[in-house]
Parts: sequence; structure tokens; C-alpha cells
Amino acid sequence: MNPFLQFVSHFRQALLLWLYIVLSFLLLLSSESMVAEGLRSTGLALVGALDEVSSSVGNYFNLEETNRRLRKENTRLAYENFQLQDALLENVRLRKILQFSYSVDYDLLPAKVVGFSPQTQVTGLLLSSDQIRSIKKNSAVMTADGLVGKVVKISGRYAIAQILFDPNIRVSARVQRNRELGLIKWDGAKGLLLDQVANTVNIEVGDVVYTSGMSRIYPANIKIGVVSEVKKQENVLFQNIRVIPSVNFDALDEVLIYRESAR
Amino acid sequence: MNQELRYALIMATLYGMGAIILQSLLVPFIEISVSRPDLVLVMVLLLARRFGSAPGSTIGFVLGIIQDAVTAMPIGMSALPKAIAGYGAGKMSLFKFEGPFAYLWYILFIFVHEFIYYWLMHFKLDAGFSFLVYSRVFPNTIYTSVMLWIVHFFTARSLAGDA
Repeated sequence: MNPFLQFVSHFRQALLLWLYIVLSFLLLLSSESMVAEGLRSTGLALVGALDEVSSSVGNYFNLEETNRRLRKENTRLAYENFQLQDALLENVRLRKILQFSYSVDYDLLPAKVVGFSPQTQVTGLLLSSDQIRSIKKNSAVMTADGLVGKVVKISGRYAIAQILFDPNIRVSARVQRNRELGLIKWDGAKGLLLDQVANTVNIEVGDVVYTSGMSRIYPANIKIGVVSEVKKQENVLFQNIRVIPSVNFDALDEVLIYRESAR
Repeated sequence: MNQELRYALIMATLYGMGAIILQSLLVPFIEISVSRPDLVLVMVLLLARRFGSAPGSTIGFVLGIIQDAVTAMPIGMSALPKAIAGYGAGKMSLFKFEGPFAYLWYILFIFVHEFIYYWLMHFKLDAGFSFLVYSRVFPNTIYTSVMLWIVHFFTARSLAGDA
């Protein structure tokens, strides 16, 4: 038997029903314009829905690419968010520093920490500022938390600041509680030593150490750190006093450079 | 033309035309609120169950066309759902359901018929389709189902067959 006739014979009942449905629609469309218009609207809605479904299926297969793009976008936005948070913290810190600068009559130049000292003989930081030419060598460098070090080299808009962890640095210091003088230097690790303090002087753990001002480099009353350990040894002239620096040298972003010119 | 087909033609003509006449003359008097039974649909379902899906859809289509013509409705509006209901009832006859379960199938096809009919109708009316469903489709389904049970009671013997 002819395959077409076989098909028609097999599905004749369903085909007959479809014939009646089509005929009914044709009769409806020819006899009633409002029904025809309604059916057109319904047809449009159906086609739209089908198109939407088919496009959503297509989108499913593009999900991997979309996912990759969104992940990239997410990373970019997260990075921007981090930068904004960083800017907020920077803003807070600078406000704090500026408030500090008002209380003392110093002219402080903000500078950005852009790296470590490129000079191997100096343990320090690389600073950047547009106005860095206006400062002089050996200007003190500080933050709101305390003393950082001093400027040892200026070049263009960059400067190298020697920090308190440099083996060669020495800072004249004073213990706040009893006004005793000493000399701050690096302890060879992550701390400082308060040297030149006689054994007879009473130093206690928790004492705050400031710059003494008895220096042409460092102005007075800049916090250096807090005494963490005091050792007195017989037959030794000076005490062994360990000081924890108040500045976290591992998390420095901005510093202020002391400028001699008055405001 | 075989005997079964001839018998179908005679029965469809007699019961079908009778249903159309009764639908036009009697049903307006037994209308409850706006709900009215569809006696033509009842006959389509019973004839389709007796003769099968192909005759059922044909009877539904033809009687629907005639019903539309005499009720001044757009031609095809009744023919389309009746052809579908007739086809469904004819297919149902293959399962030889009896008793209440068979009536459930009838109720389902009546509901499908009313649903399609009022879906087409709502394009002509200002009323929303959901309003038509609960104000027309459900009441008409119930009323027509009741009438089907009554008509079936009286025609059961004449429409009894192998199908």
C-alpha cells in the first residue's frame, strides 16, 4: 500500500477531527470579524510565547558564556568595591590625620606609599606626592598612629623614607610618664629598643614613648610606641627596654611628611 | 454503505435533529438564571459513544453547524467544540467504561466543550474569560451533565451497541 494512504488510513480518525477543526476555524473567520480578530490576537500571543520558550532554550545553551561574562563582571565590580572601601578608609584616616595636624602646628604633606625602598642599604618605603619637592631631606614621616621614620632621598615626585626598622636609624625619645630620655633603635626583629636609659630609672611595661623634640629631625610628641618589656641587668649601665611600635609598618598606605615651612 | 454506518446516519438524523429542535423550543423554558443545558451536545456525546470517534466528530461537526445556523451564532462556533467532544467521547467508547466512571468522562467532555465554546465567545463579548468560566462554563457543565443523565436513561436501549 502507498505509504501516504497507509498513513491516512492509520490516522483517519484524528485527521478527520483536524479537518473539522480547520473547517470550523475557516467558517468562523469568514463569518465573524470579531472572533477572527480575537483568534489573531491569541495566535500572536501563542507565537510570542513559543518564541520566548525557544529563545530561552537557546539562552540555556549560552549559559556557560553568560556565566563566564558575569563572573568576570562580578570580579570587576568586587575589585571596584574594594577600591571604594579602600578610598573610604583612606578618607577616614586622612581626616584623622588632618585633625591631628590642626592640633599641632605642623605643616604636613600627605604622601602615598607606593612601594618599598629600592635602595638596599635603606630599609624604608617609597613615597609619592606631587608636592614632594617642597620637603627637605631628613623630614620626619608619620601617621596618625605615630612616627614612621624620616626622608632620606628625594627624586622627582618620589621620596625614600627610612623607617624605624632600619638598622641605622636613631630617634631621640622620651617616656611620657616620667619624661625620661632615651634613644630608639631597631631591635633586629619586629620591635624597637629604647636604649640609653639608665638602670636607676623606673620604666614600666605600658609606658608610652614619644619623640623628645631634642632633635633637628623629629618634632616633639610624636608617639613611637609602648614599652612591652623591661630588663635590668647587673653590671650593665643601661636597661634593656623593648618597645612595640605604634605604627603597623606592614599596613601603611599613606603617610604625612613633616614640612618646616609654617602654615 | 454498510449497515452500521446507515444506522448511524439514521440515528444521528433522528436524535440530532430532534435535539436541535428541542434545544430551540424547549431549552429556553428550562433555563435556570442564565444557565442552560446543551441537548445537542448530549446527543453528540451519546451517539459518539455508540458509533465511535470518526462518526462522533462528524456528527458533532454537522450538528454544530446546524445549531449555529439556527441560533444566529457565528458559523463554526458550536461545530468546533462539538467535533472535539464527539471525537473524545468516541475514543472513550473503546475503554467500555460503565456506570459513574463513564459519566465522569462525559462531564469532562462537556466541560471541554463549554470551555472552548466560551473561549471563542469571549472575543465577541465585553466580559472577561475568567468571568465566563465561573458564570457560564461551570453552571452549564453541571446542568448539561444532569440532562445527559436523563436523556441517557431514555435512550440507553436504542443506543446500546457493541461499540
